[in-house]
Amino acid sequence: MPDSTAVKKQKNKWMYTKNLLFAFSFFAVAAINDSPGTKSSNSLEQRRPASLSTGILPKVVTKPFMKHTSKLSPPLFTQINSDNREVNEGDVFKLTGTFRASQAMNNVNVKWILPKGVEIINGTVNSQLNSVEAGKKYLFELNLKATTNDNQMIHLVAESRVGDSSFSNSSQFQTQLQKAYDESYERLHQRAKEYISEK
Amino acid sequence: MPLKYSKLSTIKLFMISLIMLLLTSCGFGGGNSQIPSIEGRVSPTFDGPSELAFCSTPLNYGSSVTITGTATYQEREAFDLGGGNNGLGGPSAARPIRYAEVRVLDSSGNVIQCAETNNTGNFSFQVPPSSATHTLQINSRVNNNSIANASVLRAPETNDFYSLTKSFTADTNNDIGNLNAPVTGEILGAAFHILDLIIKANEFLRAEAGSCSSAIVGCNDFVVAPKVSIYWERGYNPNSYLGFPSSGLSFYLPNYSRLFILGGVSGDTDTKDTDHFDDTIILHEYGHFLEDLLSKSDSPGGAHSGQRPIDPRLALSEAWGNFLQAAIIYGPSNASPAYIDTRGNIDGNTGFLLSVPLETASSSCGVSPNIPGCDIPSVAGEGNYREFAISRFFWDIFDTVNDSESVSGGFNEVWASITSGNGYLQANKRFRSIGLVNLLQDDLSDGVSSPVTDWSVARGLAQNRVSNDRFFYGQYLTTGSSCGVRNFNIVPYDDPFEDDGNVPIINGGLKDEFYAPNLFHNSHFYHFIQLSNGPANIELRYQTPSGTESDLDLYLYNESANFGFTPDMEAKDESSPTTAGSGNIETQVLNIPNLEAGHYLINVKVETVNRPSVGDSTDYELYSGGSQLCPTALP
Repeated sequence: MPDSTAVKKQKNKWMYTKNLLFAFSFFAVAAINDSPGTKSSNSLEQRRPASLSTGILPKVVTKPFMKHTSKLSPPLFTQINSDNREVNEGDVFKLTGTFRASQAMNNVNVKWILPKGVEIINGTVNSQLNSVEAGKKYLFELNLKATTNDNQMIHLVAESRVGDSSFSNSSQFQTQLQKAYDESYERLHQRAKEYISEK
Repeated sequence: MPLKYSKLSTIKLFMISLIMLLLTSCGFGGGNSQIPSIEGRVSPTFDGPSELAFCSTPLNYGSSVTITGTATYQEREAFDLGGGNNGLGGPSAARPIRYAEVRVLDSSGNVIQCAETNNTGNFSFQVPPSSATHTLQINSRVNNNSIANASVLRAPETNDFYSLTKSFTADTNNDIGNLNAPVTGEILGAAFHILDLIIKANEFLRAEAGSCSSAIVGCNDFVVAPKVSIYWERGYNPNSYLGFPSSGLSFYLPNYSRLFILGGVSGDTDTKDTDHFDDTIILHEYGHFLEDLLSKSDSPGGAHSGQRPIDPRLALSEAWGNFLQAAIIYGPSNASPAYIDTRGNIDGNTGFLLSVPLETASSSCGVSPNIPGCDIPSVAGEGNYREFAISRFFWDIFDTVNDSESVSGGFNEVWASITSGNGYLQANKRFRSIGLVNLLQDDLSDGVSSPVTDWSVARGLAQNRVSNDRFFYGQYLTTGSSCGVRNFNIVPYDDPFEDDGNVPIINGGLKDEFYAPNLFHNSHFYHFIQLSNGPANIELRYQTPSGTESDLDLYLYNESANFGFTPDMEAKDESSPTTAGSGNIETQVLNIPNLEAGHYLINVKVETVNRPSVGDSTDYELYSGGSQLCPTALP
């Protein structure tokens, strides 16, 4: 669990930075589109070539806007959605974890990693999926209450073993910073696309 | 209205300055921020300020004192205790920071001395005697044409490097002790660990291919790789540029000599994926850099998972990276090389994102053939489409642990094959795959025999099954000869994977034909050259002699195409057979009014997903402008 003092300083520094940057945002060269914030902190609907089996299924084959290599993809995917992306002390919020595997698997462990700054209202922290179907979504809900205004990192981890091979993946939700991060990333992506299209 | 970069140079200059100001004022430039810089970033291709000039030339002083010390870093190493208890561990013992730039500043910030750490991390330099406070910097850069050329930098928007710093006075000869880059806090250890891996890679290449010309005619002796810039920041995910900030990614940017290494996600380095201590990932991506600068890759890039047949160009490129990292990390006598990608570390929550053995496919593949890394081909040539079949093949060529084959020490032949100026790098070579590598290796000579080593047994191993026959991918076709009626044959394969209930539905209820297709069985690919700009006509004539008639489609892709990506298709004919039933001659025609001169890929593809049956063995022939296209050696 992150030290509360350090996290508070971290949060304050980020808030200062955010305000400072907002003041300068007028001068940004790229079109800064504040897209409507999504409530997911992960996206399973990524664009991939159709020749790849990921369990993430594009409706049509698309291509990244910039050519690059990619490292090997694991067969497990997780995502966290929240009904509240800026959680304050005392707030009750619901996290919905989604797990999917790109192939059939047995004995998948799915667990929430919770910091001390949240308490469980209801939900199960550890789950075991005895048999997983390829591509099927499995949902894990957790209702939590924030006991601090300090930013808390919550993770959903999925792990499995197939013989002597091990796989895992994780997703993250941040109680105070998630909304800010999501919006910041959206702007960055827009800037990157604009910059590349102009070159 | 959005402002455009290219039209407003003055504003661009202002923006760069603004970005630098923001990153520096917020502590990002100084490496002290716990939150990764996002707002100041623009693009992985950004033309940022030039890197500070390397401090390379020692200065001479008539009167001086000698300052000595040691620079070290710590890393985290992967562990596997069995039973799924694995991941990234705690801090290692201190390792020497080797051949790194040493910069000494006086109290006014002027550079007063340059040096370099040695192979054991020690440094020694002279400065004028002074009681003033000086600053020593050990920087995350190496610039040595006998060792390596690399810089580990924060972001392309700033091009600032990482530094271990210490203040000292120079009133007398002095040993200022040890400077150590740890794995916690700013995780400076990561920057120096990445740097050391690049040095290690160059050392490996010199050992394996430094005098390859004495063993292989025409081999280019390796001395040192060109300069590479490696961008990494604690807690930052480079995939954020690409629109996927929550999915960790490290990548290489072709044509930019830039690696981007995953530093975590949204500031988290203890539970989410990081790659700064994953030697596999760093060296794999460096392998792509070497491909880009010293060899040639035709890979269209993209995601891959070691489960399915993929584009052979991608399969080769990724297999090269897999092989190179294993060769460097494990060495030829290791019986258990692997591809290991970890997540988190022991201070948070950790595990293997995935681990794939590279000598022999996992024992689980017999039961679960589609787990990543199995990639076991069922017939000859299928290995050309499977990343890990090729990885295992390369390993078999290199290692001294011979499993049903007796080849070893073959790295220099791999190197010679993929770097040969009159072979692999020839201008007319396109659609490079393992098939071409094998063909070129067959022609290598030590001045007496050719090939130097017989790779055929290793090629034919059941878990490899790679071929040197270009027919399996990228066979060059040209007109001007006759090669018989319906000289080609394709046997449609009903891949259960393609009938997966999750196949996306597109276009008025039809399933996505390009969802995870079996590229090996149900597609053939040919290299076609349009000699000059002008109209092009390509025709496919096919017949299923008996049984159920198959439905073949015809596509023409551009040279850098991603399979199935419509904008990369110059033309396509997906029409159904005009006369149902086997025995009929069917045609597919591409008429392109103006095709640019260049190299293209003809794809003959079996339609499988939207049909009750994929059909039976089918013979076909191809024509260009009314003349038959026949297999030919490239000129």
